[in-house]
Amino acid sequence: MSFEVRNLVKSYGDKVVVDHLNLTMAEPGVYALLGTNGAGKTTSIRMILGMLQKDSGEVLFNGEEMQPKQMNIGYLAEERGLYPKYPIIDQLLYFARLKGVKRSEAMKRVKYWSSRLELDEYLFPPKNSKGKAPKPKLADQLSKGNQQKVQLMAALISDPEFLILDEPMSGLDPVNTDLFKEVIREEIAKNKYVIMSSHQMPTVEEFCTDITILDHGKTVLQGNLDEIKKSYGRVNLFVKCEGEIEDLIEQAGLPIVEKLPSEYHIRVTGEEQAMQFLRTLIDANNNVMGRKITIIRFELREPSLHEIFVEKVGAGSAAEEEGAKNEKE
Amino acid sequence: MKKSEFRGWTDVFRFTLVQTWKNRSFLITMIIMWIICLLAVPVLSFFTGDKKGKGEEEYNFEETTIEKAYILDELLFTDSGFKSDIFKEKDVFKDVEIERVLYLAQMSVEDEKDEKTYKDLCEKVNKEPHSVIIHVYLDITKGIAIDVVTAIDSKVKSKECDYIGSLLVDEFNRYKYAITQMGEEQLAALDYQYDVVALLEQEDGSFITEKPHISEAKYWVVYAILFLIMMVVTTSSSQVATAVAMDKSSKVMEYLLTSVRPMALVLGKVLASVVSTVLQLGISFGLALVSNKFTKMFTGSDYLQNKLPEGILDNITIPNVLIALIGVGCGVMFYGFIAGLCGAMVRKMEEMQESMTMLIVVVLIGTYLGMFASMSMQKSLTNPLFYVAMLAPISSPFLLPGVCIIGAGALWIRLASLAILLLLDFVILFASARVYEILILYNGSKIKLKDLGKFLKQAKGGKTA
Repeated sequence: MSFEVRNLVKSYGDKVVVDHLNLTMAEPGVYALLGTNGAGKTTSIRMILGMLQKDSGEVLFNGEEMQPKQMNIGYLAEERGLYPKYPIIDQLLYFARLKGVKRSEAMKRVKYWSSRLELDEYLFPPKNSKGKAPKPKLADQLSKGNQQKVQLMAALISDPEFLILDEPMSGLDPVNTDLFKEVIREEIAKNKYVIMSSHQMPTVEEFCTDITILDHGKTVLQGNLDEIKKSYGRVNLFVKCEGEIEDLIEQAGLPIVEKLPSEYHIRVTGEEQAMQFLRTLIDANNNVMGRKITIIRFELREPSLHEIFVEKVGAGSAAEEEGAKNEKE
Repeated sequence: MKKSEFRGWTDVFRFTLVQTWKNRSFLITMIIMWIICLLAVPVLSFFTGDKKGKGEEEYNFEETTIEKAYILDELLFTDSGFKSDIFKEKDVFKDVEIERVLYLAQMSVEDEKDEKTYKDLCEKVNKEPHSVIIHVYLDITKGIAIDVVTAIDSKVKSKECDYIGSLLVDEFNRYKYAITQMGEEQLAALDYQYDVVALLEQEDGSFITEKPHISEAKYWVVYAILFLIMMVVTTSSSQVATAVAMDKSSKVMEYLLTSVRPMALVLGKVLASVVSTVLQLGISFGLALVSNKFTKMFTGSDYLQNKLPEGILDNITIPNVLIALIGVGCGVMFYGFIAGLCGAMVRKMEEMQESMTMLIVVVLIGTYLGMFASMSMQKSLTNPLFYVAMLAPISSPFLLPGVCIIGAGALWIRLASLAILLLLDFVILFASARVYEILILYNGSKIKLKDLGKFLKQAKGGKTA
């Protein structure tokens, strides 16, 4: 089994919104589609789902042209959508029916997910003291977080083989974020193909093995996340000491990326330069009269996805802005 | 068009239909409509006093409120044998004082001082609440007329006047037979009003007849049906537009499109609206008939038969009703597809009203065209306006059902009208679904009417899924 996107292109007039996108998932897993707002993620997802026609390119599943309407695909859209004035249970059964799930089976699944996502009190409210069942809840009677849970239910109710999650965790409180993460982990464990789009980089790092970063429709970085990080090398040095060390950093000629209270984030060229600076700190503690430096944290690590993203997309945007400026001049 | 284009339309249809019927405001409106249909016949029957059928009215009062009758015979028929005081032969009127009023031509020189014109007589009777005038005269438009005139604040009952009138008409007929020396049947044959019938030659050489115009009463039936359908079309179209706009503005559309094609979505929604409307209309019509039947059981009078133009019930045949109902269904579908486009143009529900302008304009043009055509049907059923309105899909849904119910127009024009509507429904389903496909995912700047052409072009070029 494999999923592949080849040279996907989409333009609106003269504007190319997706420019030759390629991505491959040789086996089930989680693939991250990243980019700033307007980078072309949602358009790419809509093309993969067959909502929008591609100008050119191919979307293949198991080597054949993907037929999204004939496949079992679960989709959690970025812009959540429920009918505000219709009962939630009716909507879930309708969505399940559209995916070809029979009513009795759909009802079973609604009950399962309702319990799993702690929505029983809204979907199956207990009878009141008079033994009368309360009216079914409408979507607009639910909080935003609970509406998002219903959306996740709608995406999972057909037990899809292919899952697309666009900003799955946005707007959730920490408790519900953990609940969502658990559910997503369970789905991954079922060997499903998952495409995730998110601006929450720690979440992407937690789940995704491969990434593509888009900027203005173009792919600016792509590949296995671990390998990408490795290729950057361990260049981030975090040093926390008791005692002032800023003069020592300056003497060593190291750039400070960020200065936090009693901690420095320094950019180094690699392990050697980091070790050299560590020796400088130890020497300073031993040799300089009256100077006491206690090292609390000395950590050398690869760049985070957030840093890579900002570097790639931020730089690209800046360059483009500069280019536009020059053009104007 | 592939079969997969329609996959899932039944689910959309079922869901939309169920949710429409679950909607509280829809239910309340419908229940009110049904109550009106149930109560209309008995209430109208009670207030219009239609307890007995036409021609069955009997005058069984024992005494009269009339004390004096002035007879003003401008045509001098009284002199040649017309008994203008015939009603006095009835016991109830035997004590009524009769005064013959001399008309100018009857006056001799001595009588001049008694000269009374009709106007003077009316002024006099206006002060006598128990008097009536029997006025025989020649009306240029209607012919010979016999009026029974009372004072404005007269104490004389209208039923008594009607009774005297009917006795005078009977007497006048007798007088006619006497002076013309003709029998009742011969005179009836002379009085018969002929309809001019046009013969239309068919392709096989045979002829069919066509009545070239309709009566005023039938015009009002067509007019009433036209407005009823206009209301139905407007209501159901706004239901479709609201449903589509809600899909779009609530962002449910994005989820739905992972399972179904836009064409299936539009079709499901429009058909749900058609079924809803036809059911609503059918049940209302059925309730009105049931109500009429029950009213008849209590009053002995068939209210609808008495009030509807003569012979109209004969046209309510299965083929006519079928053509009319399919016509309504096709019309609701036609306007439903346009409404779907209007709904898809909306980004937020607040823009709904503005977007509906296009639909309302088209509905109004169609209604007015149908209305003018139905007016022209009083003059001729072969005029170009009638054909245009019957064949143009914007007006035919309003006109066709009425035309079928009154049995006007040739069968071929009704079938042609239906065929065009059906064909156009099919074409518009295809075209609107393509544009709809682009519009529903469009969230850019506000869409104007002129942009629709651009979208249609884009859709034609295959820039959709």
